[in-house]
Amino acid sequence: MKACAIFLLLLTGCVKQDETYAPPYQRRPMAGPDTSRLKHFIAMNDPDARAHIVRDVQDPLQGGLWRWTGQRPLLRFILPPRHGKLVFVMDFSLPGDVLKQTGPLTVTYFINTHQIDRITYAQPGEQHFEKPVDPAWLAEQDNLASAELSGVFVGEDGARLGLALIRAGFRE
Amino acid sequence: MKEAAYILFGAAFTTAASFSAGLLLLRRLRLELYRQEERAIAFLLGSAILSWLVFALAASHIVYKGTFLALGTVLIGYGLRKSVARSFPALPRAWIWCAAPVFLLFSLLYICHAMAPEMSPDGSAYHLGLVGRYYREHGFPTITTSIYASLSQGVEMLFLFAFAWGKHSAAALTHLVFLYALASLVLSYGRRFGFPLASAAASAFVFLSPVAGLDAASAYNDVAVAAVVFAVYYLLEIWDCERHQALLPAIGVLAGFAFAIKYTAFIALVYALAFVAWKLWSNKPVMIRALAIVALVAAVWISPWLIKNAIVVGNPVSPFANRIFPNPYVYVAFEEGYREQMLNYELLKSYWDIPLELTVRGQALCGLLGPLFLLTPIALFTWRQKHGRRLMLAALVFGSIYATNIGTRFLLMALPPVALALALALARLPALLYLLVIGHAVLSWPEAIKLYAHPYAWRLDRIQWKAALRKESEDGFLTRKWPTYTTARMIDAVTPSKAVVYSFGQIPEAYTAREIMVSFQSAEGMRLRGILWSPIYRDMQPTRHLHFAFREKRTRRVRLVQTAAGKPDHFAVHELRFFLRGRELPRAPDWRLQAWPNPWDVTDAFDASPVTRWSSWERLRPGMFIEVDFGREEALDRVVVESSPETGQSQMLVDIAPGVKPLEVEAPPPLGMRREAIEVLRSRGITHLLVNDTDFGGPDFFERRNDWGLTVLAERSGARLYALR
Repeated sequence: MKACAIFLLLLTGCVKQDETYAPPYQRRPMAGPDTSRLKHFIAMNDPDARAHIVRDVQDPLQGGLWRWTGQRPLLRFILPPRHGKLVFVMDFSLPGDVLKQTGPLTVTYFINTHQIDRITYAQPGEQHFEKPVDPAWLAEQDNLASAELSGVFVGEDGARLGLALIRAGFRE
Repeated sequence: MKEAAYILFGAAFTTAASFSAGLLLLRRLRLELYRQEERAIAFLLGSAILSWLVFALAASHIVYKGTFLALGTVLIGYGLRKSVARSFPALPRAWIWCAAPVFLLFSLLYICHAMAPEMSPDGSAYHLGLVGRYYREHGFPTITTSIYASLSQGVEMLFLFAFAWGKHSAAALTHLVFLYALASLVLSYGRRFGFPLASAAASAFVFLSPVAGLDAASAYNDVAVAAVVFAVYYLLEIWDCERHQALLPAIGVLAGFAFAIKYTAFIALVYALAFVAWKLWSNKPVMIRALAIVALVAAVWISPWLIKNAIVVGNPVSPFANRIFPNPYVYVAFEEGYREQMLNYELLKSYWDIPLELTVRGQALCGLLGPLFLLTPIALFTWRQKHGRRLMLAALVFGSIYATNIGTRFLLMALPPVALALALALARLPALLYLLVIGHAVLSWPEAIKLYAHPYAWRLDRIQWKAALRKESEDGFLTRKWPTYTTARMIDAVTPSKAVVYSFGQIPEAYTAREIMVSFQSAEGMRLRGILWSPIYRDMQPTRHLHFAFREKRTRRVRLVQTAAGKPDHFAVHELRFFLRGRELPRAPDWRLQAWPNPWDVTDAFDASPVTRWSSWERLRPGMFIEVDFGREEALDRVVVESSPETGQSQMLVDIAPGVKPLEVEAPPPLGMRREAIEVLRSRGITHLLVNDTDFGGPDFFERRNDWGLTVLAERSGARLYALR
């Protein structure tokens, strides 16, 4: 009797492990742009990177990490409806061979049609660009970011190479 | 003064009702005790009965002053009778002259402290926080967001009875009565078994011990459980001598009540059953009957709490044993962390410091027993005496629960037998016993403690008679002495009555009528804490993306399986997405989601929110999984797991393509996480957020309050109260 009572008591704590649930309300609905592919920031080794490239960023992926740009790379980003103050970030590398040919390289950065900055790089190696963005320059969802290089390396095969782009996009 | 009268009435009415109920039971059982024993045992047995009855009233949602008044009046009317029990022989007059002034002085200290506004950390946070809520809601509400509401609360039921009249201080004063009952029982023990002077000294050792006095004069339950457990031991010793069958139900009541006060006091029932079995081993049928009586009676006091938990939180012994009774309200990770925390007090540098911390310093382990207890090893000299052996064994058994929590007050259950054994060892040196009592009294006085203990030792202050008599108002006293109190009052002042306030830290809930959800006290609290921390803490953000790409497959279900073993991380997934030719499969209502362990949170991995996530809330084990049944065959060529660097030790495979190694991509932190976190909190019923400057991310909430969507409502003592916009 006692054992039976204890058994029943223990059963009250047992939980079915095969409980299943339906997907809940989607906090960021999928209607409108497919934000799962287009993001506010993209690394060049992301499988979705090509969806963000509008112009002048080359295939294939180099070293599993970066891609060559041409003289006027242009990328497309999607911003969520609500966000804090944003900065535009671009990480890239300047190969010594490019600088040898072009001399100090000036890069002009644009957000949509607005120039955000203009910087001259004289040293090779990894570079990090980061600059706050005027919220008035940003569209609600689709936004373009581009860079204009003062020159490019022209290879013997005619290839025109600019930066080794690693990642770019917006951050809070 | 009027408040002081209500406080005294609340405690006196509770004590009288308990005492009367106990007398009724003693008469019913026809137990013959000495008068001095009878008082203490009747109070303790009656406390068990009153506690049980108040539980029944709370479960029936009829907690009102009127029902309490009727119950108390009936118990007193039927139970209270003039005792006809015989007395012990009088104690030596010299002893009385020595002890009386000390007893009166410490009584004044304790009673004033108990009557002064309650400001003990746990007492004001949850012991009385819950009591206040039960009183406001006239019974037990369904509380799944506080582990403390799931602990057994036998003494809190008495607090509730007293609270109805005298509020917080009446509850503390009720707890203090248990110290008198305990001291009285310790004193009686030697008088019954032939060493009165030693037990008189032991009684003083217990009564004057700083941690016992402070705990008893607060709305805690450690002294109550120590008194009840010692009463179990005491009645077992009488039963051993007299073999009076009627003692067994009384032992069962007290052993069950011990559990009803505190889970860990379950050891009293184990001790009682083992003791009875040992004594009756040669006569098995009698033994089984005796054991059944003790166990079944104890079950009457134990089972209400187990049943309540089984109904409310799906785990009869919540917040423990969550692996055996998995439930959505307490995570296994919490339980493991809690156990570890109870064994590792932050300020304790080494376990070798424990003896000095327990007896002299009093800071790292929260309270001190008094330097006298450095003499405890002397108690070993009683090993050759029957009572010495029994007391030492009881001390070992009751003290064994210290292995679960090394705070000083968790030794209180072992203190009475230790004090008795120590005094017994010195019984042949009465002068030394006198000196030890005087020395212990001097060293236990608050002003003296200041001279040798750590400056921040948990100890009593001076006699607070103005606050006790409410010559200084409760509000004025607490505002002056205790900044945290003002936080609780601030919440009541600026929030509507239905507000639900989320707080990272514990606050004195006994002084607010609002519902407070504390971050670490429930599974939901921990989930929300993760949601609030993820926008601030990079390692918690969904930036670790695993892409499982494979040749297009048609399947009805997909399981993501965790394969790593023996790593401390949890398995967590912010989002699990499925793709075909670059387009995500929209989540459909007929999908069925499943996970193991923690199946209840699985939808957090499918809500398209960057701040929520499903987590195992257990260390990594192979076989943990999330599964989706699409309800029909779907074509896929990529599965993407959005996870965080914090869970980087987890390894995964997708069962429809088990050989595929994932491409790991570091994704950027999502934008708008702060605002999203607040929106998720709002969707889960939180209306306000309380953040201290010292909380993790405290400054961020203030400096970026617009990004969060927070409005500062009030600010006091380093705590800001925000409304969620």
